[in-house]
Amino acid sequence: METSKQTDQNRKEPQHRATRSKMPNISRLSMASPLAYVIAFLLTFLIGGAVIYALTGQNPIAVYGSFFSHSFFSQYGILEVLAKATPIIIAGAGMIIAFRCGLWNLGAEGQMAIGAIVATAIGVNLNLPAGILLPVIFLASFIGGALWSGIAGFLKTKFGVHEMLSTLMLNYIALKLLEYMISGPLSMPHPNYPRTSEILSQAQMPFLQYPLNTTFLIALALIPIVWFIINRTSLGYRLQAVGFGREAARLAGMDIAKLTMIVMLISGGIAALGGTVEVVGDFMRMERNVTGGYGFTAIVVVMLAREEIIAMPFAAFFISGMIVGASSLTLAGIPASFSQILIGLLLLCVIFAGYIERWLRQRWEYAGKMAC
Amino acid sequence: MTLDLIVNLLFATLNILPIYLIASLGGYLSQRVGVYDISMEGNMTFAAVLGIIGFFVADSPWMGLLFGFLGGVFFGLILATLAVRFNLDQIVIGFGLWFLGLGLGSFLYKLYVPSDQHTIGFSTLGQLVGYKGELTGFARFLELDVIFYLSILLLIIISLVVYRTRLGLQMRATGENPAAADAAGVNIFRIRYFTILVGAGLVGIAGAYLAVAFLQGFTSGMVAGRGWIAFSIVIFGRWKPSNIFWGCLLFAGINGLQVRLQTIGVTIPSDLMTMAPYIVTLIALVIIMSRSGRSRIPSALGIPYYRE
Repeated sequence: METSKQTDQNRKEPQHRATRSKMPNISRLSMASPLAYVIAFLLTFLIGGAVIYALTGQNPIAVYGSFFSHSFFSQYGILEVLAKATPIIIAGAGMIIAFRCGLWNLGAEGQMAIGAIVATAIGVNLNLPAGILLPVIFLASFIGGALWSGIAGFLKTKFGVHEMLSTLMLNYIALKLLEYMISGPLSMPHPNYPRTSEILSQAQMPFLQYPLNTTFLIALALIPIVWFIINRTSLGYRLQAVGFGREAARLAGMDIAKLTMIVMLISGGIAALGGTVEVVGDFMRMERNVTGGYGFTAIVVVMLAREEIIAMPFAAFFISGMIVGASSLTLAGIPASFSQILIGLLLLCVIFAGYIERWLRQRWEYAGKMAC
Repeated sequence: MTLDLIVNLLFATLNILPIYLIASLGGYLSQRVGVYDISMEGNMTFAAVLGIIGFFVADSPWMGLLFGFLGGVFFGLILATLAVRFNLDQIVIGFGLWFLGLGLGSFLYKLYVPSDQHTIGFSTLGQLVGYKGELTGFARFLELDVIFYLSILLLIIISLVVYRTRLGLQMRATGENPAAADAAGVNIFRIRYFTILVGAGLVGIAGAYLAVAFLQGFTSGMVAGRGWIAFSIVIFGRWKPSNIFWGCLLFAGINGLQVRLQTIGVTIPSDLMTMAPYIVTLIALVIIMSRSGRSRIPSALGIPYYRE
């Protein structure tokens, strides 16, 4: 899997891309402009509507009406969208640090599972005052997630195993571990279905306004922190340098292996908090679906945000809206997995719209030259 | 007693083998011509549901495979159009298709699959040749189904085509050095389109086979990373069909062991036991990566081709 290195070196760069003044963005969607995004959104909903009409025979306009009124256009909907965006934002913030270093940490789902396991294990058993217990839970989850993604970092630096495959495998291992924990060691006595006992009341974070929990503030606070790490610290400078050109960074004397390890640890640690907040701010216990696929969704969110930390919460908000909107459609007989269809389509449409835009621009420039 | 155990394990393994073998050969084909098919997991999920729907259309597992194949070809068409025609990033396309496949899969499942979704697999070789006697020892090869034998045949055909025919030479040239192949008069786009469609179709067949014949029903999350494992098998099979076969055998063996251990009542929690394939993938990756040796990675893999 030597893909990223090769493609980045050999791909033909469009001219306008080199004019960006700040540290070059290595994102794979970096060509798409806001206009391309708007076109892509429209195209996505158009195709999604066609899918609905073709497969269920329902009127797509009516379906989308319900879709939006339950997500973006009602107070409860907005709160729920923000609540669902919380774990995605946290997982995405963790992943971005790795992505900017050219490391494909696709293991947010597994890291979240580890965070959830650690949070539940402590939250159920460790009877401390809230002021101590919550920091302990978050710190321990961070360490747990860091160690988990550290496995991928270790395999990468020691054996050259591509982190994309190792983190994906670690996802499945962590999810199995989670299932084992809820049916075995952490299971509540005599559950109706596999789940753990509720965490202690002092470990439960309060709601701002149901269903939005105070954990959302943690997600928001992470954004400037991660922005600061990436853009204002020596570590961030080095990781971006490696992300832009591994070989050049090595020749400049950077210890790539050490940096890879540090970045994977931080990235996994932050992503794990996504699972923690699900336990202490939403489920208040651990169940099978506590990670809810948000770690996988975060991959798409990070790609859509072009690996920019400031743009990421907005992408997360939008994707979360799709999840909430689609889950409201189950009453109308449309499965909630419609959100996954939309998310997949959106990614394909954004990359395609980027192409169309590039093509139009070249046409435009060509016509301009001809006119002169 | 132990011999019995080993024989049982062997046949449990061979039973599962076609899923991995067909899927990774499909992934191998598109990587051979220089395009990553990251969407295998989504493709298999989508094709699994289509396979079940196809089964109930004609009450035949073959119709299930056909539906799965067509679903795979549909995904291949999107991949080929975006990656070959428009030269867009293969990784991003792959993730998009992954989500699309998962979504479409469970969407169709909820809408179209009947609640009693029990399917019937393929007839075994024994049934086909009309053998009625007791199946012991080597005769147990008769209890493997037709698809097992077809998948072995597929392996042989693909190896022969890729390494012994003109088409295979063009495929390899396209994956190694498209510019040179183009200059030599190979139609890069046609070769890539064709190979990706066939490859993705095979991945679809694997998904349909998994649902229709192996698990005989669909549950959400059923593919459970098998697509990603098949993808990894191509990588650490070093893009060589024979290695891919051994890789598939290894994973089928792990799955078989899991099944056997459960039936003889070994008390390892099943959740922990189901972790084994993923852990083995990691270990296999470590072993392969730490063994120095010439990598046979197609040189143009993942790189868009622009005609000069």
